[in-house]
Amino acid sequence: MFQSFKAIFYKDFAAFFRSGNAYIILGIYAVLSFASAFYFGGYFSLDNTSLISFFYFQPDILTVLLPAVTMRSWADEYRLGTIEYLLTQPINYAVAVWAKYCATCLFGLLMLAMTLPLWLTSSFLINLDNLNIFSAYLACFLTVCTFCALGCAVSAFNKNTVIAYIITIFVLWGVYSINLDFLLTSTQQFSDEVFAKVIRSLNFSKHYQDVISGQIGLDNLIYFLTLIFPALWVNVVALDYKKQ
Amino acid sequence: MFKTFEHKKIYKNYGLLLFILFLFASFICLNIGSGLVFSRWKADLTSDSRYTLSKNSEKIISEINSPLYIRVYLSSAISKDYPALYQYSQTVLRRLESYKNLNPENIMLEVRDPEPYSPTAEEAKKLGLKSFLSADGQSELYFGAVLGNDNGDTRILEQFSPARTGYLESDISRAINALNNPLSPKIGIITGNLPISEHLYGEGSQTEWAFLRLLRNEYNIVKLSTLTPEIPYDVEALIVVAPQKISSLLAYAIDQYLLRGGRVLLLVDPYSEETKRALGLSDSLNKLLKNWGTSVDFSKVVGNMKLGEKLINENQTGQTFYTNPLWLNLTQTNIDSSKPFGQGINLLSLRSAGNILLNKQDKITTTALLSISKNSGNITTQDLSLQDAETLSQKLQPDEQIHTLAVLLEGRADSSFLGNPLKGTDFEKDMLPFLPTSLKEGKLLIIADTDLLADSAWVNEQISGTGNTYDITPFAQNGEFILRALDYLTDMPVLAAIGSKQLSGNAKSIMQKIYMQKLEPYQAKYEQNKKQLLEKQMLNKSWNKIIQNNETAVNMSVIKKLEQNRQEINNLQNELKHTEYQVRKATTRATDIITWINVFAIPAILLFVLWLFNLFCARKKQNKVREIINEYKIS
Repeated sequence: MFQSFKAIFYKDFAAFFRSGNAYIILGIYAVLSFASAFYFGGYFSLDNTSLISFFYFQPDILTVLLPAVTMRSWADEYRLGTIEYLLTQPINYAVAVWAKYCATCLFGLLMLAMTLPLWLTSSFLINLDNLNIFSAYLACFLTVCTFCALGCAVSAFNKNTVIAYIITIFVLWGVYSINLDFLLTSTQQFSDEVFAKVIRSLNFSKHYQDVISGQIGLDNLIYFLTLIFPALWVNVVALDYKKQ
Repeated sequence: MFKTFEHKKIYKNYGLLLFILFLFASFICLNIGSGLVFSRWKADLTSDSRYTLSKNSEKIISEINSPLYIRVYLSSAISKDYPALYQYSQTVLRRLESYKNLNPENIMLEVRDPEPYSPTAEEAKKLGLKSFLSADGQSELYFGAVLGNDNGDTRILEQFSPARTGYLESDISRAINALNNPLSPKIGIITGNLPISEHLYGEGSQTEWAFLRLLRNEYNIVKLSTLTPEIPYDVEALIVVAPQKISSLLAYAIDQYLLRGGRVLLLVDPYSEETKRALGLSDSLNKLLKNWGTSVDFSKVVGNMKLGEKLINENQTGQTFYTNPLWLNLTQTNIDSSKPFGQGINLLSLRSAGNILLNKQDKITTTALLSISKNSGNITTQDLSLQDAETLSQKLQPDEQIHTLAVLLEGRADSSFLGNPLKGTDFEKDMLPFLPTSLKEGKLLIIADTDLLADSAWVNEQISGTGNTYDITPFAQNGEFILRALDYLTDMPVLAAIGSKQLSGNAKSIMQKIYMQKLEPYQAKYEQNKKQLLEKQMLNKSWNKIIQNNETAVNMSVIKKLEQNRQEINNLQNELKHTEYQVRKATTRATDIITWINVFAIPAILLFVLWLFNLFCARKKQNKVREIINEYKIS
């Protein structure tokens, strides 16, 4: 089982670099991330001990760029006709899904690693709260994992990579911008606390903000995990659905 | 057959849809459940434990047993107009959430948006919250809080300021504690010749010193006369400032107050930097202190080369740096932390402090709170009055002795007096009987410096005259030390232990830091110009006042002088603006370079390195394949 996982994982990860797309995505991601922090995030004017101006825009950037990473994971297999070969091998669907998912996550991790020099250059300029920055990177990694899982699931339903890309952006945007705060009245009343908690527990931004500000809790982890694992499960079901 | 196939497909689609709906429902249920159950418990992944409340704050919160309402007024326009303040507002809200989470049954938190010209904005204004203008200058914005309880007691935090980030917990916990204990202890204050407050000195040019504003926020401060023969029994602690010239009657009052279990914070000074004079020997004071096993050396001040403040001197040859050994910046190693109010105090700024001599007594526990030893020495007050700081730094001879600058004495002592000095007069019958020895354990805290109270020693430029406490931005912890010492003296150890987390002096914005770096070469000249400008403006103001009050006849020489002064003011203003422009230009250049490096250079280099690495791996792989093919061909 491990051998098949390894084979699919290596094949998918190497495929990013074979086509040269990886350099484009990594380059655009780095430029967008830094540019947003410097030009829109108030990198110089805000209290940036935890590099908030950089992390603030990460979900927006990942919403646009991660679908470009995940769109090929299954759609390409359908397009090239290799899906039949893959699915007729003696491997568990879950292993194949997991291997492809890990490959995209690793690429996502590489994207995040591209931004580490900012941590270094900023440390020469101000005293950074390194623990908080670590927490913020954890938030980004959880976001990457969540978006990759959703992106792979969408890709499993589509034969066309462009359509997979567009639908993934739409899905990720939906998840990221889900904000039911409008259901709360303009002034939050003392008695509405439970209602506010219920509403906010479904808010992606709230969980992301919690972790990037250095306040990580079990509820935040549960939120991300309840998005990742069902998405992977849907991915497995989609393969089965397509096969039939 | 075709129909069956179609049916199967429909069933399959429905099945998939139901499965996804099931997952979605599970997602909602699980997250609502976890949000309700686990949202209270959070790990604090910040190096300064930003969201973790101290044990003392937790104790204050645990004492709340009736509803406490925290109503935050936060204008939504702040997020757009003031991003830095908005960022800080999120920290404040998170901090308030952590208070709520510790006692969710009794603490009610509410956030209101005082939209311009709305009833909520009116309410905020009426409550006394401090407003500031929006970016377009059209409307007033608010970011403050009102804490209240069912008894109708309220505490107003007029405005949360990022400059007081380190004091956030202290401010909130103190406000909550004040609601828990609405009766503020009465503190008596006796000052010598220091103009510390207009409340104490009447209408005048003096505004209240920041330390007194801090104390007034927590305590009921009452002024006592320097000629008082008796300290009122309801005064829980007494502050005596610069009392070198105290009368023997006041000495008797303090002596009897201490013997009755009183608590005294005594600030003495051989040389006052504020009044620029040495006040000489005080017999009555040392007579009072003798039985408490201590005395103050009024002939000398303590200096230390390493702890002295670094200053710049501008002269004809250029800038020279020198150390003023008498302006001491005491750090953690010089501050005793065995008492709760000494914990977390990392910087105290003292100026020309005196030497406290200790002669330990059996019934008295002595704690040296502030002391210095290495590189320290004495300078006589006579020398100090005559010579400048640069010369004095050369004159200081380290004696390697321990110099005590503040001491806490707790215990019982005998009276320094043989009887009531007013014995036999009509006043005697209204006074409490003379005590020859302690009735209860007293506490006496002596600090051999009064300049540490002055705003210039510990507070950044403040918005004077507003009477607010929450706009005080300290660069040293002098005020905090005095406040917490009083908390200790008035038996409130929990409050005494709540300290600040960081000082506001450290600029956290990168722009500010670069600006300060670029300003450094011009600093001495810039500060000098600023000082001159202020002096000239004051002069202009006073001349105008004199002319308006018809105190002097308006003649040509006065007008000429005024005109010349105005011209000089204009020149100085132009020079200052020019310096600022130069510094801003240099700052912009530096930020542009940083931006360019980060946005373009670093990603390009990284991508190149990655491409090289990939190329190297591909070559290695190719070689390996070639080797295999060759081997195959050979075989």
